[in-house]
Amino acid sequence: MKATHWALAGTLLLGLGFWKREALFPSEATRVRNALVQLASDASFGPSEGNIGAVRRVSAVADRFASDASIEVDILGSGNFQLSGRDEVQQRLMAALRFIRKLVLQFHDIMVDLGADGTTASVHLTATADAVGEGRYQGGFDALEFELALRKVEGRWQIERLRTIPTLKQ
Amino acid sequence: MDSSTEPSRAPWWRIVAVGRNPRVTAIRLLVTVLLTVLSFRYAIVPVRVTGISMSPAYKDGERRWVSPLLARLQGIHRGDVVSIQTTGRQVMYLKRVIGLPGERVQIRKGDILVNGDRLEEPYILNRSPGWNWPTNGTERLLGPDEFLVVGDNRAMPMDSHYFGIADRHRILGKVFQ
Repeated sequence: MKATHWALAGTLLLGLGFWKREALFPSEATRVRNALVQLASDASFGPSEGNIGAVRRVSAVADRFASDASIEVDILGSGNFQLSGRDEVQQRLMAALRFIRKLVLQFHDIMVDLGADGTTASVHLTATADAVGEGRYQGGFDALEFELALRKVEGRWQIERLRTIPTLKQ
Repeated sequence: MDSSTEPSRAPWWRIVAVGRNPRVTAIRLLVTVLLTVLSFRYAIVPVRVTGISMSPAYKDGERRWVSPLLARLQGIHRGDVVSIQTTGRQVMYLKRVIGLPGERVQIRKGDILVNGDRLEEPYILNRSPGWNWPTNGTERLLGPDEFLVVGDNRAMPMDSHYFGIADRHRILGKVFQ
């Protein structure tokens, strides 16, 4: 076997090893990303979902927030929302579900900045939401930038603070 | 007979996979990858239009190209349609440049005023007179790296239309085609 073949095989093995390592032993930044992607998936639902499924989803979403989480969201055309604590998040989500029939929430370009102690993280991401509903829940929003502060509690990353960041200044 | 002058008889699958000369194939592959990465990073970025805020010039679902290189070479001028980055390139805003750095801008009853003069905007079909910005009724002086960007669809209510001031570093490039 020629040297070039060995080099090619070695590069392939290294690449495969790196990929598998991330899949099998994800870094903390990857864990944070995965938790957020899971949150977006939990928050999304179709028109055929029943009440039990909705309650389960709301519970899963609220569970991603710290008990004293603070949320400040400004959605164009819908206004400003300020929530504090996991219980309020859960209540508001349950109330909103009465008006939303379908929601597809996606997070893009998730940038994770881990704290020095490894138990805190600051995240900057762009969210898109496509909603079918009534009143102010109709249409969702095109894109919004969010800044999140997360803390690792008992092995799980929880959102402590979430707020919208304006892409364009006023 | 000199065997070194005979053509190599590599198996067909190897020729398909790496060509007759693997070194040349590797260099070609490397150059192609490099050119592709550089092109799609700095020269042309494909985008798909979502929403109606740039209607009628740009329709929902259309595909367009954005050029960071063009913005760098030609600069950004009034009337250009630019893409504005969010946290990355997966989701961007397409808006038209209305105000340039150092200009005084204002929207009054749907009309754009630049340094006190009404801007002619042939790309606008209908405008709602309900548009007034800034809300305190004064002019806004744009900073050295600030551009006022607004969508073309001014028939929609102002509070449903996302517009405002973009910093230069947020502008990825100019839309062309």
